Amino acid sequence: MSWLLSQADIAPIARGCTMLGSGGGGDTYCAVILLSALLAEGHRIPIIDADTLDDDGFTVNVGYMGAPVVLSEKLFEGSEMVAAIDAMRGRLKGPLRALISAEIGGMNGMVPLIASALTGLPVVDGDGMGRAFPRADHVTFAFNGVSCLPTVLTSEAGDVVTIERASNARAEDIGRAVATLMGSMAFAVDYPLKANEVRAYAVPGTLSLARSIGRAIGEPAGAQARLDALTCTLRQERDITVAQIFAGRVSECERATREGFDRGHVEIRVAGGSRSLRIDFQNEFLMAFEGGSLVASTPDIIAVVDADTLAPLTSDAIRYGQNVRVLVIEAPAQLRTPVALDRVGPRAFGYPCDYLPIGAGR
Amino acid sequence: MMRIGLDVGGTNTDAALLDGTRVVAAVKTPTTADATTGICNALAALVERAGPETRSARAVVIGTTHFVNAVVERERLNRVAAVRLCLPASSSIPPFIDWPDDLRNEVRADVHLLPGGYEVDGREIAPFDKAAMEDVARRIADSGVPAAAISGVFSPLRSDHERAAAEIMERLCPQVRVSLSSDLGRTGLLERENVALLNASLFELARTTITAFRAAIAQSGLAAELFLTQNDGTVMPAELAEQAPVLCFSSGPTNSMRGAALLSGRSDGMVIDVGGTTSDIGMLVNGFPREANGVVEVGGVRTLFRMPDILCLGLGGGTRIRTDPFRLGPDSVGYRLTSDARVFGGRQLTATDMAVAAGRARIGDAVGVADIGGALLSAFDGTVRSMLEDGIESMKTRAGDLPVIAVGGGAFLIPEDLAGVSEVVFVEHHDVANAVGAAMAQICGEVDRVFTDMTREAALAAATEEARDRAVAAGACAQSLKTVDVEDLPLAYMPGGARRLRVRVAGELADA
Repeated sequence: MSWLLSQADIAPIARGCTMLGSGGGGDTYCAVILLSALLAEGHRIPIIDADTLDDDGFTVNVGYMGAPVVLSEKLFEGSEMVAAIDAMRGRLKGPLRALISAEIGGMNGMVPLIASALTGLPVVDGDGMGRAFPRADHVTFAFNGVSCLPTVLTSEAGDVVTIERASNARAEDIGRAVATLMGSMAFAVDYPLKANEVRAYAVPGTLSLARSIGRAIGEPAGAQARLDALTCTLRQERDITVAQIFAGRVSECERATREGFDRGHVEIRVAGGSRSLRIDFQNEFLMAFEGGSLVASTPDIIAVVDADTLAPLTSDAIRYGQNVRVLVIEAPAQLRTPVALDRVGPRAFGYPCDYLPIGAGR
Repeated sequence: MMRIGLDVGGTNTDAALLDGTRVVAAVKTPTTADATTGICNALAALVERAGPETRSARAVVIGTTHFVNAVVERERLNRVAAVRLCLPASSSIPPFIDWPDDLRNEVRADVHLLPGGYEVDGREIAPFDKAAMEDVARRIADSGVPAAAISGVFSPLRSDHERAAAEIMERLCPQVRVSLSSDLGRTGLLERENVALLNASLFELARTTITAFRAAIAQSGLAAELFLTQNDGTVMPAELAEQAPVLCFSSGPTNSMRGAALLSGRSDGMVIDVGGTTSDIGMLVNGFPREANGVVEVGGVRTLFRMPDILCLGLGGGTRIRTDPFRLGPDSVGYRLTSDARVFGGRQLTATDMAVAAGRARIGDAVGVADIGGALLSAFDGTVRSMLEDGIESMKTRAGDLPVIAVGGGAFLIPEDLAGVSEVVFVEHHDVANAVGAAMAQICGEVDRVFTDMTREAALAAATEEARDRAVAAGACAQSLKTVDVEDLPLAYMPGGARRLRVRVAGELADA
């Protein structure tokens, strides 16, 4: 189903993107105010279903790569998005039909909507991760052998850098180095996709999923009603399992930066009880253990939410004493293939264990 | 050194005279519509209580809610021109974009975006354009606006461009008062810029208010120097406060917490200040309120600057109680407590009445609450307990029991045994803790910016030295300075071992 983005969609999509970010993906605030201003100026932002894409054209993957803190100072400009999309258009062997989000989790879930307003291109309802992950090559397109080339990186200063030849992993490393020179943040357009590749490999419907999640937790009054609405929406509309695996207070939060990532763990304890849950994060929440046994793992989405409002918390916003619930949302099928699990399953992050799907052993 | 602390609240103006750390005398007087009269009355009452030695006080320190109220009420604000040094970045999201319409209409004048600002590693985004800034300064001068705010990308890291713009303003339109985002706010361009804009919108009010405060001191026959309390629990000379009224926003709860520290002789623990309508809970760390880490909304505007982390609960001495079914608040009889509460012969049942009925307080006439039964009292006790215990738990930063210091006019509402609390400390002068806190008159200096390509130790040493220099410049005695807060945040995805360091030092007011 295709739809036009409305003002009333923005806040729910932002909440939903943050929830799907599994603790990472960056802050959505600036995207929210810019989108709201763009719609108020009369821009149209069409969201289309992958099934409606013309077979002869291309869809490109868009998003920012770099340090989220930079976007809190050097705000979105817009010209960098237009320049990158124009540069990519000139290199495609066919018409550019649409944009798709590299990662629906966090700020990047909303970036294609801004780019759409500025270029007139529609946005495919879907993305390449179904959540947020630390690296740009953690996309389903890469898992299925699609090349990221050409990759175009731009900055607001007007620089346009194109990577013509490299493996996906090398392109990621080169892209990071370029992003550093561009001020630790670059706008990237990559993975030119044919319509059949979008249909076969993208995680479908994640923009409307984000909106459904945001509405479910934003509209009813009371924590239980919100949780019920969320569970019901995900199960009935999408057949996605969501489970609350824990509720309590944050009793410990340790973090440190290693190899360019914010790593650490959170411990949550039941008030006056002995039960506790430990969640490890590397920007995103990756693994949850109760009493030493694994209860949830990547690529399932582990969301730590405010106990009352169900507003999702990012890993850098976790503080001692917060009253929280831990929800686990089943990963989309595209992340549960052997190839995908090899890249984003527990072992890819250094854990000597296999993916434990939510609902499996419960 | 004798010092007078004054806390001008919505209902009461409290005053305390301190000699060193000893409370010589304290008084509570009603707040008046015009600030001068209320302060004169409070000072007169203090002189009457403490005698003529009051007049030898060297400093009068005032905590006031004038400035934050003006923002919340959208009144008495002046117009502000915005200058942002950012191009070619950040132009899609201009200054004032996320302000509530009514406040924006009241404050916004012209908005100018110019080349400049810095990358996260300190390189220039674009060179500062002197000619363009001179043109903007002339246009601001012609527009007749009284104030301007200057912001720049990553200015907490490097403020050279903001300062260059300020120098041009000073040269070409000296009549326009200017506030710089790098002097006030933290990393986060929109939120820091909002702080500078709000600050500039208060310049005229700050000048008239401080003039009125000075007049009140002179009329009261005092030769004392005027200071204002600021959000972090320290004080600043009136001349600096006139430049930075936003730093006075949260002086009420902050002063109570500082006063609680002095009155209890403790530097760490949880402080609960129970007023007439609400209770403020905050954590004392090294004798100062812990600062909020994230965005704080003021009058609907997102800000990111030095503000205390305060949890406000709907429990005060005047909080109304419904009996069928039992419900606590959220409304309060407020300043009408002494006429409307049952123990004062009124008809409203309040939290104070419940405390009197339970024998926890002796206020007014207990006959008015003789009919309150045990079931109601235990419902009240249970609700208050869970409210406070929940609040205390969510304000802690680590596991373990902590002492609670109970202050404010309604301190008697705090039960002596609370879960998660090692002891509840009740103190003398608890009802004027805010004025006592104001009179403590410590001076501070703070640094908050990103350090790259340095070891943690070298970065910490550099930050501490900068913070000490700032404190001394604000009037602190260098020998008395102590580091009161260090926060070290390694930055993800950034090369060169980048870390954001925040260091704050505080010390005694230097002898003149």
